[in-house]
Amino acid sequence: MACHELIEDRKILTDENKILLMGSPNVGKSVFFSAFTNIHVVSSNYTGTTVSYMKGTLRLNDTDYSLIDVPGTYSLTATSEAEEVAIQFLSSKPRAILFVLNAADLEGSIKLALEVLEYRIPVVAALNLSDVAQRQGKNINVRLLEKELGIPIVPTVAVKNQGLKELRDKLEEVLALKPSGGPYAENCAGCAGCSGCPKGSAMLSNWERAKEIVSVCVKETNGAPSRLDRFGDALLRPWPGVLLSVIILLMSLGVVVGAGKALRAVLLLPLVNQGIVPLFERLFSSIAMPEVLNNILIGQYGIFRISFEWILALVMPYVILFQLVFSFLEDSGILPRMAVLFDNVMSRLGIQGGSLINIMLGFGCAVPAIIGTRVATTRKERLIVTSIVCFAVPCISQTGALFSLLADYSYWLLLAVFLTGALVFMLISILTGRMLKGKVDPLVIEIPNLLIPERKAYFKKFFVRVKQFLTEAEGPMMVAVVFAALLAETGALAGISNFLKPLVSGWLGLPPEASMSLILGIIRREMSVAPLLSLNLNGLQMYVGAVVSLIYVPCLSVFGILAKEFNFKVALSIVAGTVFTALTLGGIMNHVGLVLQMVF
Amino acid sequence: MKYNLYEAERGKEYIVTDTPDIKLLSSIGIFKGARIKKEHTYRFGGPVSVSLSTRKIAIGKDIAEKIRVKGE
Repeated sequence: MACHELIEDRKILTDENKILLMGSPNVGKSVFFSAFTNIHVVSSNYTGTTVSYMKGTLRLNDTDYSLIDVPGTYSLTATSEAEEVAIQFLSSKPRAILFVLNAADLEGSIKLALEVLEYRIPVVAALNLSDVAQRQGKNINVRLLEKELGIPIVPTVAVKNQGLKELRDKLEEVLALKPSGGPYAENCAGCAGCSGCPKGSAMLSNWERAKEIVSVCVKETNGAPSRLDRFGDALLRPWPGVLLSVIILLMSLGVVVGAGKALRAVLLLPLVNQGIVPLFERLFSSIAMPEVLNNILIGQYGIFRISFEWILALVMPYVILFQLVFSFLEDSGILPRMAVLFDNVMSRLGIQGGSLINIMLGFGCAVPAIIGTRVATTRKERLIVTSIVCFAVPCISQTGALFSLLADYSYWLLLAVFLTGALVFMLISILTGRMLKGKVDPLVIEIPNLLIPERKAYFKKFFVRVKQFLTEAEGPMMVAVVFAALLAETGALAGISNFLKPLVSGWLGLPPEASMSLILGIIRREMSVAPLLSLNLNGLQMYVGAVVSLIYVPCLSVFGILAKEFNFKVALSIVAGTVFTALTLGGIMNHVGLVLQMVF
Repeated sequence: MKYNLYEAERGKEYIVTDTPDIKLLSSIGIFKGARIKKEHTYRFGGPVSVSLSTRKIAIGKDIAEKIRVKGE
């Protein structure tokens, strides 16, 4: 792997005033980064949330420093991309390191700290998650730990902003010291060890040393484990863990779907149909304009009608509710437990449990899910998981739209579409696994402590996510809406529908106007479902329409991210594959359905 | 008493005697001489979970079968 692919901006390495933010995975580095730089990066309670480094500005002693959020690693032996990035940064003469120790996993983080200290760069450490350690009855003697490691240490609870001020002060103190204070030249970190040097078995000696330090500095007060820790353990046991996970997933789904439906029925539909749309109808009827223009603005597919009907009433409630629920799942530490519990199912499908986290991310939006697959250890695994997300995982906007289409008609139909999606999921996983060369590494995952998400951090993340959705999805959605209005109200749709009639009506059995779905679906996923809502489809047509739009082209943003993360060829193959599969499967299901209808 | 980690009895403590050559294992805390406690085996081809002194990890079956441990 060439270096320039890992660190895209080489200038960052020559930057003089660099401070590195380092630590094991999932100790909350990103929370410190957000607090110190005001750049909000997403943090969660599982390893590998930060898949690349982040850079922000931190002002200390009236000087601007670049604070770099280095992806978390367990060691510095260059065995993964993240570790290579960390080593490159360590070797680029940073001014100081802000090292985050995990109070709840002290031995592991001290071992990494010892490796970092070998680089002889000034270090200030935060003893984060000190509240969790306390909960677990661990009494850490911070003064003793400072002496053992030879660095200043500040206990913190970063998500609650505790200890951040003191940490900042300590960092300023250390930076005020002359940079020539330490023997920088004598850097034996990259050395494999020579005779007489304990580095020969560096890994072991650091682990042993860490164990020693922990035995000196930590007193276990043998309290009973808290209710949360006991629940965390139960969730990890095969029994009742699997049952609990299924209950948690069903409850999450119930909240999103049930509350979304209620919100739509009680608030949004009346607001749009009786408030906003009539308002625009009156407004436009009072202005003299050609009929075509009037139709484009407020006709059956008019911009000012469908933008509210589709975006405000159809997509938004589900997006908001999903983020509320999913942020909770992410921050609590439930997801990695599910990765462990369902690893057996996933490995039957040719992947491993850890991928489940990215697939679940895909139920929100495919873009972060595909970026998240960077944590995969092989390219093959990345491609399989990406294909699954593109073919078989509907994003939340589409799920909301599908739900509105199907559930009002029959829950059985919803179940049928869900089962078809699950079947495609399995087939894609197995088929791409067969087609691609290489291997998929088995699961190795750290299981974090279960946490109750801290309210402030949780809501901040929620708002950031919703804002992100609005800024990133609003544009394409509006493009799709304007496009729909122009197509439908200028008569262009009739021409296209006529042209696509053999496919849409002959093969798929849908009304010719459903060709709009195939056009809009290229832009956004939910836009392939929305036009179906007003076509008065029968049960079979709804099923076929839903299956086609589920599998059909992910969306333009996904195409972009596929081309960026892999290459143009991969992006094109996946999109062509989705179109082919969607139309083939849709047609087959239509004809099977027709035969069944004739028989019964 | 030597076992592989997959078959090792749950709830008991072991010392690792041999591991496959996977760097992530040693950096996460599974190396020759490490003390671990076997927690659970997940059936139907699932992983095993183990406790190290301060962290819990899960290891896929294929790797767990290649990790040798001995009882204390």
